[in-house]
Amino acid sequence: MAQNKMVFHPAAGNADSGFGRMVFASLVAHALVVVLFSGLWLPAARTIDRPVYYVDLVNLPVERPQAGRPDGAKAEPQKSEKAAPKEEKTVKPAPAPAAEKVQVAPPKPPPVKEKAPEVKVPVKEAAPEKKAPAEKKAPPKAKPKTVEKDYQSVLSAVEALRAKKEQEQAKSSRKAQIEELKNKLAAMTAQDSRQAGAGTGAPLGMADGSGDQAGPSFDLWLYTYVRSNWSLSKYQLSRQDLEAEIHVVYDQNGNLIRKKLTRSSGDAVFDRSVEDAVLKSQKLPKAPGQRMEFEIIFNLKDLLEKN
Amino acid sequence: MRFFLLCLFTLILFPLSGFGFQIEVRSPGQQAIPLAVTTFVPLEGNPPAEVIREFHEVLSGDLDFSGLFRLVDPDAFLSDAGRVGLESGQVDFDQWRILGAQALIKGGVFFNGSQVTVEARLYDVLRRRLLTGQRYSGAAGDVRTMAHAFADQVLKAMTGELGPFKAKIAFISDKTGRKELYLMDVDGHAPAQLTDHRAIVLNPDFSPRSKELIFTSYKTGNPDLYRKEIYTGREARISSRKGLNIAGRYRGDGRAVALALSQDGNSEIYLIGTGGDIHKRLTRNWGIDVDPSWNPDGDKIAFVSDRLGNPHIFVLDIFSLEERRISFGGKYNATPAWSPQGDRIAFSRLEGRTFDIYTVRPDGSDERRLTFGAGNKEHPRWSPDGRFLVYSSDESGKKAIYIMRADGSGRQRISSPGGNCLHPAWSPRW
Repeated sequence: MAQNKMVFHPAAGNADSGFGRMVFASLVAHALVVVLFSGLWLPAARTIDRPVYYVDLVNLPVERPQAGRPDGAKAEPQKSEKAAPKEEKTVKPAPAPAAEKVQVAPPKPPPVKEKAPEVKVPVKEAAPEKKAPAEKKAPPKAKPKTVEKDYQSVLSAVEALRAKKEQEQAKSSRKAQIEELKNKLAAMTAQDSRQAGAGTGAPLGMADGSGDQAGPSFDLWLYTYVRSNWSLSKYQLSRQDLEAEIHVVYDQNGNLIRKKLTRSSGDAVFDRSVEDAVLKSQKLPKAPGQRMEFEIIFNLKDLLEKN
Repeated sequence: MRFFLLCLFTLILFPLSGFGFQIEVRSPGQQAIPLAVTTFVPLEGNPPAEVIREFHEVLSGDLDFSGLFRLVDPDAFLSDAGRVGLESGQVDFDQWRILGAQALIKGGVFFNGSQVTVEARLYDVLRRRLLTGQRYSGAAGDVRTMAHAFADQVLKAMTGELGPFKAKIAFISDKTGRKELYLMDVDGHAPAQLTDHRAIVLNPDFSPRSKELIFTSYKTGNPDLYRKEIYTGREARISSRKGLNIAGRYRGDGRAVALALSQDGNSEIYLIGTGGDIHKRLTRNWGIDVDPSWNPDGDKIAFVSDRLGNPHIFVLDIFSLEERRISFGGKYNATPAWSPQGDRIAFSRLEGRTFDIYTVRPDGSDERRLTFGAGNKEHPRWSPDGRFLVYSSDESGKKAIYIMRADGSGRQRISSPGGNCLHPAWSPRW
């Protein structure tokens, strides 16, 4: 009997381990099925949600959008750099003759008195030459009186200048702080992309952007692009509860290589309009850099809400 | 085990490889179709410029009023607009695509003596193909009708439903000092007097089957119901019972008429044959019942009754005679008109001091006010495709005929000044 037991023991051991593996495999398979059918792995998970209407198609999409609004202004540093020269350029041509006039006038009261440029010299333009010598004459008269007084006045002037400079520095640093706060505010407003209209000062980017490039994400930009190419009049439709789905494939250069109406709305006019929208979008202005394959669902939910 | 692992990896990698993402577009970016309407080019003979211009103006006017299109500015047109070729292969679609046009109308005109032949084409710019092409021939004076006819075809090509522009509008005008029956184009052009009863003529309605009208006239002193053939001018009195014989409305099959008779002392709705014989009494109530209007199936009518105090709209099943009230607001609800699709009933309502046009579903739900502002807007009637409404309004002083889209937009006056114009009716397709 004992022998029998000894003989059968290994066999029993093999059977146990085989059974364990099977149980393990079964558990993994069941878990996998649960995970797969939970929707976590389904492609539909990444749907462009609604508050994305204000993407300006002029701003081409970027790979790593920064934090901001899709309809926002360009990023601040770029703005300041570009804005300044632009202003010069645009201002220059028009006031050119005026500038010449201004230049003609000053030579007479030679800007020698630059030390006191704000001392209302320009106001007394009429007789600057006569008065200037008079002023020049005055100091020599003062000199003999008290040198100390003169020295003191120079010192106080220097102090005043220093104070002024400090004030300006403080001002500029305050400005910088304000700019910084503005940027922060812009980034915060970017979180609420439902606030319509550009010009809020928010940088160009995405509400959930964490990259370093100014621009919307590709899928959001694509949504806006396709929508802008979809023309359909409500007077063409007998009903508004229509929905169609198109499967589209773009190559890496942004050329439409395949489109298929995967779900018809049942309304020929509606179906044709959505196919037209895709046809109009057959060449993307910006190459995605990789092959793209996705579904576009067209419906009239926003029109229904308006009604 | 290996097989199992293989399956596992395949399943994990599958979603990452093929599918990208999904976009949901919840409304069109452009809610009008960009359409380029070129001025047609002379193909043969020497067609007068005004003929070509008139065709262009009428066609553009109809298509613009439809609300379906955004007309591309003709100043932006490139060289293809003046090219003669009308075959799809001869049209430079790229030029039109640059201009953003999605649909294109081109055409040519032959002129031979007084005869005009118009070749008209509608193209799909994106697909580079012909959507519809028509040839019309007639006298130079028919060019407006040709333009209306082609506008109808364009609407059919774009929506599947023919347009209503080649129809007619009947109305009553007192410009001779008496209320007489007139007929005009849908854009108000070419009004023509149909009756000379030198009495009061009211409430015209078109036969759905032939070119004839019924109306009420006081020609003999009593408000009797008449039928008139439009082209022959022949006229017959079909109901001349004591009291009112008013507000006659053809059933959809044209074989019966619902009207209000007061032969028993009180105005009630009756069903009569086109010869005038009574088929059935439809209402029986102490109140005044008037203004019947058929649903498209011909088994229900909407009418007005003051049985509950103020006049309101009711819907009646003509077989079971079951009635249901569908209007609940306003002091006075009048002249219901059931849409050709059967989905809505238009009517006028006195709210405050003025009448305005409303629509409601036949079950009384989803009531919508379509007109606003000064003046009484009354007697709404549908176009045969249900896209538009015609009505009368005194907002500019005297009563005049207006048309608008079924949602109340695009309102425009079509009757010319002179006298009061009222009681319009839009004919079936002509």
